[in-house]
Amino acid sequence: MDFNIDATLKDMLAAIEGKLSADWAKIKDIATGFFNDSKLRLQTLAEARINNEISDNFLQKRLADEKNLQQANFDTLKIIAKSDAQQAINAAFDVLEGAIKKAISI
Amino acid sequence: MRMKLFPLAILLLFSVGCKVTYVPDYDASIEQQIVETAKANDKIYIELLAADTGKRDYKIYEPEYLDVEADIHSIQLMNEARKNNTDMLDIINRLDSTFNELRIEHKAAPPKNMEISIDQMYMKGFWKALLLAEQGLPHTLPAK
Repeated sequence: MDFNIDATLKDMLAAIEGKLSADWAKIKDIATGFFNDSKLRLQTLAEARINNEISDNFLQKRLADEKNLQQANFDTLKIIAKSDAQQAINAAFDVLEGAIKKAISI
Repeated sequence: MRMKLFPLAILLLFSVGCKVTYVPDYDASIEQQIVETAKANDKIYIELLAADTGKRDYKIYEPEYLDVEADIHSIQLMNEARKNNTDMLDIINRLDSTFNELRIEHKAAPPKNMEISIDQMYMKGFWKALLLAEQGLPHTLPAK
């Protein structure tokens, strides 16, 4: 029975690192997209109020909606981060499972 | 030695065989329903912008609003049936409450062009958050 814990842990870490580095770029892109969308909405609201196209009351309501939407965007990023962490951990455990199977020759 | 370690290895194998689960799996049918309902919601604003200001009474658009609301509730129900799904339900609840708030505002008074465009932007933002969340869930391969 040949089971090298050091080599297995190294392989597990490599699996996690490979998954998370690719996913970090994806999360960053989505967060940047959310930020740009928010900027555009706030810019539109400000210009519309200055040009008297919307009332103060309407502006206040949409600013409250903006807070609500920011929270929804944060939830989206949380879901994607959790999903990526889940896949990275499971990939690492797949490596461990493979090493154990190999050691006991299943 | 090999005989002594074998049960331990089997035990380890069973424990690592269990997958960790923080979020539900991606569901193509839910993604499709999100895309279709977002489109139906957006269509209300496109129609409002295309209509003359005198033809923006809530009653004209009520059937479309009710269809979209029923579809939002259907998406909500499908998500309530999934495990580890608190964050997704939070997005849907925020989308639903904003949709209803804007509908009630329309009911109170026909909206002006700029108000329609702004409301359209906000609803699109909520739909985008929900769609990206669904697409971000783990895409597990079907069992062979």
